[in-house]
Amino acid sequence: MFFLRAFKVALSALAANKLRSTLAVLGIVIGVSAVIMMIAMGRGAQAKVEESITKMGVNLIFVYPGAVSKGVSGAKTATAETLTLDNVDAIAKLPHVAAVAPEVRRYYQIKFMNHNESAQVIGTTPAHMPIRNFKIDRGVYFDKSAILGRLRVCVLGAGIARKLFGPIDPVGRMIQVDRKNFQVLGVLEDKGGDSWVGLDDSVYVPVTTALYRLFNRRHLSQITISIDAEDKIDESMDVIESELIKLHNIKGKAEPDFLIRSMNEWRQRMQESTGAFTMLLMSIAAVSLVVGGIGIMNIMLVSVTERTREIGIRKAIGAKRRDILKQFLIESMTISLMGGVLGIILGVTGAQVIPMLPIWKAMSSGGEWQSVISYESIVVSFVFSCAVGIFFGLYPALKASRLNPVDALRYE
Amino acid sequence: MSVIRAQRIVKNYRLGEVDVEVLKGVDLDIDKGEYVALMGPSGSGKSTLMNILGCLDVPTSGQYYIDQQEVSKLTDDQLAVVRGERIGFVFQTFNLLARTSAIENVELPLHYQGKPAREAALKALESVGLAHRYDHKPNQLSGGERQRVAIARAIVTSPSIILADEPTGNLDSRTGVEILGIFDELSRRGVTIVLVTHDPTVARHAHRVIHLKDGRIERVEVNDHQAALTESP
Repeated sequence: MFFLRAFKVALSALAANKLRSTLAVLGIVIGVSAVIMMIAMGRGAQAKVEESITKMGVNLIFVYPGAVSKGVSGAKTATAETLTLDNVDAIAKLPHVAAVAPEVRRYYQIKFMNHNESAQVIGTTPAHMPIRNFKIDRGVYFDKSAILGRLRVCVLGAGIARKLFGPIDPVGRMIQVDRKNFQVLGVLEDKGGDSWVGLDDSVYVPVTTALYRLFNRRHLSQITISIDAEDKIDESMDVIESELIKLHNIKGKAEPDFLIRSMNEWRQRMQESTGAFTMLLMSIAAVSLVVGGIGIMNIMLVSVTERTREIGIRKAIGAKRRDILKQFLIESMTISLMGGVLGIILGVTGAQVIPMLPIWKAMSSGGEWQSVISYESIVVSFVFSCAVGIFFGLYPALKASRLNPVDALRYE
Repeated sequence: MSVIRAQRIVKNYRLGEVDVEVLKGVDLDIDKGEYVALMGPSGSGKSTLMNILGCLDVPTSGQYYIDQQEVSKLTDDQLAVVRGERIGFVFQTFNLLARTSAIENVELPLHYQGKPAREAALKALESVGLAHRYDHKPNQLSGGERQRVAIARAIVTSPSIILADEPTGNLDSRTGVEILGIFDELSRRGVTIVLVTHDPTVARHAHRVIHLKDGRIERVEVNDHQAALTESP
């Protein structure tokens, strides 16, 4: 009953100055909706990263060539040339290793008829497909005999297939890589949204063909290993590391000439960076909420001054300090609550609309980046907006409650 | 039995570096049911005395009792309770809350006491002859009507005393007479009234007229009440 009446009083006081109240509410609306939208965007980015990591395959360990020094300077300017196909075979024999795939990469101009595209050529084995969670869409993947025979065959990522062939079925046709003819055996399923890894836009050839007939080298760019159980990853990393140290003849305290990373590490790093990104967005949004709070404080101070006489009258007829305090606090909270509710509506709507805007699509480099609206973010921003109303309304309300009734009644 | 007993009331104000003694020891007793007028030229301290009697302010020294309870040492909030329960104010400028209907203005003192208000407020409006306009906002009412609402607000809590500060000061003389008629009626019903005025014809309605000068009571007149009423225009 008390609150209903106090709320009514607050509404009529706010209605007396519609423009001013609207502007104060607007400040909170902007703050709250910004917080909700920013959290939604950040969560969307996180979900996107999670998704692409899952698409790349889970339970993975990567081995890369390390940096080594060449020549007299001692600076580590070159890449070690010690990862070999023999290493791949050795790793395959270790426990818990489900599959191993070598990777050797280089960019080439790829040609089909008069279509020219620059694309990454990845030399690998059929094991690459299950490890990277790929499925064949059309045709077949090259098999072991292609590797043994160093055949000039290839499998296309869905993206590069589309770019080169358009509506034509690529299976069985010839493309040119470095002016050499390669027969297309199959096309991979479209994974989508993997622009930062580029797996959809790559051409896959047998690793031996790549090493001996294209790149003319002996060392690999990467070895990718899948492990049969998630809880064995750390253990397997240690086993693989000591095996490679042994094979590469690294003695004593010398640094290994390779790097070993697990997908979990990648995932953690990505999560850390997207988490930091979300925090950054959120803190910028929170600043606007604080600015909205200052707006409330401003109009409440003006309101207290303007209504000094009203406060005097109320005190004369028996209002205690806390009655006046409550009245003005409820008024500032009414502003922030209205701002909070409208801000949530605007924020939720905005978070759904913004990813559809062309500018956002351009910014997120064409990926399907959806925003994720969480209930916590709505609750948090609602509670936060109420807190802003109380916090920034408190000083003006205290000021009002402490007015001396004699002076207040005399105020013109 | 005295409703108001003020003893050696002194009030100082600090104006810059100097203390100004506005009230220099005022003794005052007002009995239940009395109708007292407070007169004096401006600067005589009558507004200050009025504020102290109305518990809007506390004296620098001296004792002040309402219904035998000492109120000169109470805190802000305790004074607010005394004002709400025992004192009804009627101001020269009406001091109604704008945007708030007549009945809600009258209900307000009871709201602050947490008491049921609607019925009592209607009754109070009725007794000042304004029950039919209960839902009008102050700006829809004439000056005389506003002052009636203010009187209804003052009496709704059945206070020990009504303090009226120049209640006819902003009204034309005919309306003023009507308002004074209401005070006369309240007085006949036994309500204690203290009325501040500078107008001798207004003061003549009171049983007793206290003249203040330079912060002291200069003299006290006792009106032959019947004569005062027949003489009034």
